[in-house]
Amino acid sequence: MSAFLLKRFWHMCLTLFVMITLMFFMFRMLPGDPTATVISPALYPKAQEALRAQFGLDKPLWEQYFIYLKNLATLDFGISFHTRRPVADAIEGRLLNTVLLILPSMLAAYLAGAIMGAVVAWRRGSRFETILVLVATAFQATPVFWLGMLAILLFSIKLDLFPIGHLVTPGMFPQNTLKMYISADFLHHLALPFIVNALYQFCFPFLLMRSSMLATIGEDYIELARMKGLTERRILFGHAMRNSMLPLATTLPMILGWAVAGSVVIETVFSWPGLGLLMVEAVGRSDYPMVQASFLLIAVLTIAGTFISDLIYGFLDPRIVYK
Amino acid sequence: MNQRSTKTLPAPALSVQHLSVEYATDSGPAEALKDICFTIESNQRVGLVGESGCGKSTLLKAIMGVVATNGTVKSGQIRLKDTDLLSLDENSRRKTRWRDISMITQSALNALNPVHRVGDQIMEVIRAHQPVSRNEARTRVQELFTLVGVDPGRTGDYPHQFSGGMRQRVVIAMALALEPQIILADEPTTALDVIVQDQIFTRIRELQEKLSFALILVTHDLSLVAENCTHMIVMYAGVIVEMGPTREIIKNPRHPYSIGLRNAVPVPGSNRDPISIPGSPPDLTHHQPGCLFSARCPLADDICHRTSPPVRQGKENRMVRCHKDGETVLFAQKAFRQSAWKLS
Amino acid sequence: MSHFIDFLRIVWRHPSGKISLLVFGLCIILAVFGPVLAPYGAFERVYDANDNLVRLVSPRWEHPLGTTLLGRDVLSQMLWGARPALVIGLLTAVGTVAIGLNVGLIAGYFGGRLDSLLMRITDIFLGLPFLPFIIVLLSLTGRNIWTIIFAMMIVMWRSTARIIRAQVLSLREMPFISAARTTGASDFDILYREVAPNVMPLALIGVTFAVAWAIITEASIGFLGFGDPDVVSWGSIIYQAYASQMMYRAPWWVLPPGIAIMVLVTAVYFIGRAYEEVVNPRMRDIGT
Repeated sequence: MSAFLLKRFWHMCLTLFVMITLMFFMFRMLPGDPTATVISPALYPKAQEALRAQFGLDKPLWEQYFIYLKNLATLDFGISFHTRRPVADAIEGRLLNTVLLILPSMLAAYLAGAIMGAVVAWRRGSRFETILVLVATAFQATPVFWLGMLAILLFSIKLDLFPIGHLVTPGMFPQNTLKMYISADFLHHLALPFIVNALYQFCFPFLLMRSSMLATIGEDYIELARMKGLTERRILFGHAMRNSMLPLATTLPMILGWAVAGSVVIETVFSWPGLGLLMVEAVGRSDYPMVQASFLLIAVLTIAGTFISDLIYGFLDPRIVYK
Repeated sequence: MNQRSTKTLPAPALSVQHLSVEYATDSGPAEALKDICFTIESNQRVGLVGESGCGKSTLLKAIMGVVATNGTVKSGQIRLKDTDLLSLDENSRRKTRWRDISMITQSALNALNPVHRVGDQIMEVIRAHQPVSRNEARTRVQELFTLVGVDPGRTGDYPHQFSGGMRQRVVIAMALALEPQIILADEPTTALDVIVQDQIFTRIRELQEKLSFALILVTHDLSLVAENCTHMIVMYAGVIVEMGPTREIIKNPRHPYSIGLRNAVPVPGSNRDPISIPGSPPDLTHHQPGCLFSARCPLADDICHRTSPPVRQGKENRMVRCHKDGETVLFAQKAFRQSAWKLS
Repeated sequence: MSHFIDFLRIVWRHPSGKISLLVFGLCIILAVFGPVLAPYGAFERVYDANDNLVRLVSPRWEHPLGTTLLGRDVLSQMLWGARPALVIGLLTAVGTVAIGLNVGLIAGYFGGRLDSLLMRITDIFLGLPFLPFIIVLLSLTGRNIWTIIFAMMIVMWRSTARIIRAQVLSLREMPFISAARTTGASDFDILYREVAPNVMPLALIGVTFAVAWAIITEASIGFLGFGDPDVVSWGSIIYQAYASQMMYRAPWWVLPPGIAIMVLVTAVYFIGRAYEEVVNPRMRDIGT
């Protein structure tokens, strides 16, 4: 098993390395000069050269690449074209903000999905099942940004229950301090994007749990549990549901990783200052060091999610044989 | 084990009267059980035999009260001592399960929940029915393990850690947990090799004599019934065609179907080849008048095809349901030849 | 082709599948005839008798779905927008599955080093963050319908490849494949005449879910401002409403495109599931 673990880990590192390389050369090989925005061709040649040297763009490509790799190893992501300050400074707080939005809403979606999926499978063929499947699918089929816009329209503007976007009320907290993250104001701002993302993500765990439960319900030990005179509740929660959780447990990290990638959309609607929004803004400003860094971080989370899912799957399912 | 008429005797352990069960299927309703009547006294070991699909499993499920969702009990009574189980509300019915009637299931691997420790699965049923503490329940489980011959130190193991035979013993221990009056055993040893099978049945017989519960053993293996059961019931297409003391039926079967079943079993020390009954059981979704076995029965004539055979009571509490009851004795003598089964 | 007819027949027999096929058919009709039916052009600005721009009017007889900030008729934009949504959805899905199918077939059938190599590449693509990668790619290649389709295809083939490969691995051991081998058929023949037809149902399921994903993703790309500026799609209508900051005053502008996407994609999901239930009850719909 440890050989398998080692092998998966090596694959993960390889994937990451390929991605770093791909990103680096994509920006430099594809059409469009990424430096045009920061080094205006209108400047004196002398000034252009000075800027180029400042960003390390004067060296040959392969040398730039090795310097980039070396800097990455020390978590130095370079200097932002836009702010002219280290990228690492800008990214620090953003990662936490993304995690604070995505993680709780995904956990909520999974929890609700597990319970509702189990209940619906237990009451197979009921009208409740039909309606819930339709509603869950409709939420999955809805562009999440549109759902967010509707939520803002309804709850923030018409009903004035929640603030429109952002982390906290501007000016209320001087810095990203712990005090801010535990304030009621933060939770108030978190509520809408949290709910919208959870609704959007609900369908997958819900349907997964439903089909897993349907397979479990046909098992002999469920019939035996009934013959044992256990209460319906006890059979549902003690036997059927617990045995059906496996696929949910194995997919959660991977789906979490994908949800981080999806944060570009939900964070944009709610002006939530996370990694996703940072990246969208950076792309818009052609701030490539910033794009590279934020993309890389998102990719690390996505890859790590897939890796952990693979691990859990390998450990929990004895039918999978790894060579 | 008979159709009782006298009311002075104490109520039998289990009495099933005129039980009919129907399944809704894609091709219409299927009558899985038709007018089933029998009684069982405590101390009896009753074998229930018949081909697969004859309604054995449905009968067990009906007695346990877990008929599949597409099945309904159309009529009849299932009396446990003086209580009619079918008239109880769901909650009272639930409480009788396992406490009064428990079950030794077909496949012990699938019957045990793979994610729970075996000891916990037995403790669970004890604590669901009796107000005992965890410790008391655990002690009880250890006693049960000793009783069935499993190391009591293994209560914390998971099902997959046991061998097939040991797992079957665990299932037996679970069936004994609440000291029920009746235990149903549904093909309890199909997955096991002959030696283990023998050990298990010896154990079941010992326990039954010691604890005096009534046992219903469902199987398609007539030799198991011959070795282990005091009485037997032969079912065909959802109907009881013959029942009585095992020894009598094996020695002198009176229903052509019972005769056929007996001939299908190899007899040790005999040079006769076992022969099977030609044809297959009827489709239960098509209602058929007359005797359901008539299509495969070489003795069948017009009456058999048209009218349902009457129930005939015989000596030694025997019952047979056949129009040709008088002729079968003769037929039994030649029925070991395949040619005797040619339809006239 | 016969697979596709089977597909339609199976879905049509399923109750929710039938409704969904009807919805999808309606969308196709809109995509084909939408531009003809639309009273105004896709980018046409509407002026009243006094030459004033008819901007942000609520739904009324002349403009059943109202107008936008720039005086465009929302109904007309909706009718124009059906075609890009469907074209992008279908083309992306077909391209995605074509790549995934071939990678899966080749990796699963030939096995060995080729399989390892292809699966390593698939793993790398599985690690790509979906939308972020597409945005970066579009920012470098320029934004038009074709780059959008291309960008989506590059990331989406990965899950189809994995699913098809797993299926091929189990098919490879089947007697009819070894029988074909003994007759001296070439690998190419066996792969595309014997193995491929057997994974077509899986591929068709892949197509439906890819259509759903592509439509949603195209809308998301549009919303993030990376859509084709010369084409009106349902996603870009939402983006225009959002970017104008006027959507809160003009719900008629933002509601129809969102509802249209929701209804269309829901229908596509149900079509996929109806087929899946019959063909492959055990497979689970893991997105892309």
